[in-house]
Amino acid sequence: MTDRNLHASIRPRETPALLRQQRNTVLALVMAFVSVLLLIQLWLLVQAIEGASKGERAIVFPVTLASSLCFLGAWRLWHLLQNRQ
Amino acid sequence: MPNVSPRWREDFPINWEDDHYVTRREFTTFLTLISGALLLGTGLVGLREWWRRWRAIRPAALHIAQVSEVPVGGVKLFHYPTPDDPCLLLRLSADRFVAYSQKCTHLSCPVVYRAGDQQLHCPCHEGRFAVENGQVLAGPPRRSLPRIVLAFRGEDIWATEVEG
Repeated sequence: MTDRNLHASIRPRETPALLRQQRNTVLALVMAFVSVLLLIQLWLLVQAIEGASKGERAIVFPVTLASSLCFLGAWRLWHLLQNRQ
Repeated sequence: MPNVSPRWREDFPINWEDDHYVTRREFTTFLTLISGALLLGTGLVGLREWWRRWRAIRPAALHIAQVSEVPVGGVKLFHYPTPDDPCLLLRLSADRFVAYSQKCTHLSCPVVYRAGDQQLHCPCHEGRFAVENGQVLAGPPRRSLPRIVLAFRGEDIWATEVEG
């Protein structure tokens, strides 16, 4: 085995580039997921406001936590999309 | 004739359509920003509740009225434990006083006293509460009205605590 082949074999493999159609699918999926997360967050915000109005304070903190998780999910997907060419 | 672009094109090289074109990636970025804004809104509601709870943990006693100030069947409005919490002091008989939060436990509309029915009535969604103990009698509310604990020092009536 030559040095070049040896280096080629131990070089970390690059992620294969996605085909155009695959990219479209990934993009559409990410957009769909983020949209669903947004709808869930909107619902959570309404629940938080309603809970605060009713004086049911116990509901507000779990709702804030759930909204944070949704945002993290959306941000992660967006980040994935930005790093993927 | 050769296709020569006009002179102004050099200063304005971008087409109007291209300038307004939004890619899907940009749109996803926009969605993510909205997600952050929704989280911010929910967080602000949570912070406000936390602040209110922190302030109301040990409310100081508050002088709200004198016994002679409220006639039998009369009502006095006061705010306790914070200036954002309206409450009602009711004199049911010569020696019986009760006080409740004025915020309906359904959606925080102000309740009003109906002496004829001996009820506290919420006009927004027809919620009704017993004036004796603040329990729900009818309508959409599911929780009793928070009761204000009263203390009497001579002629003075003090609010000392919120129950419920």
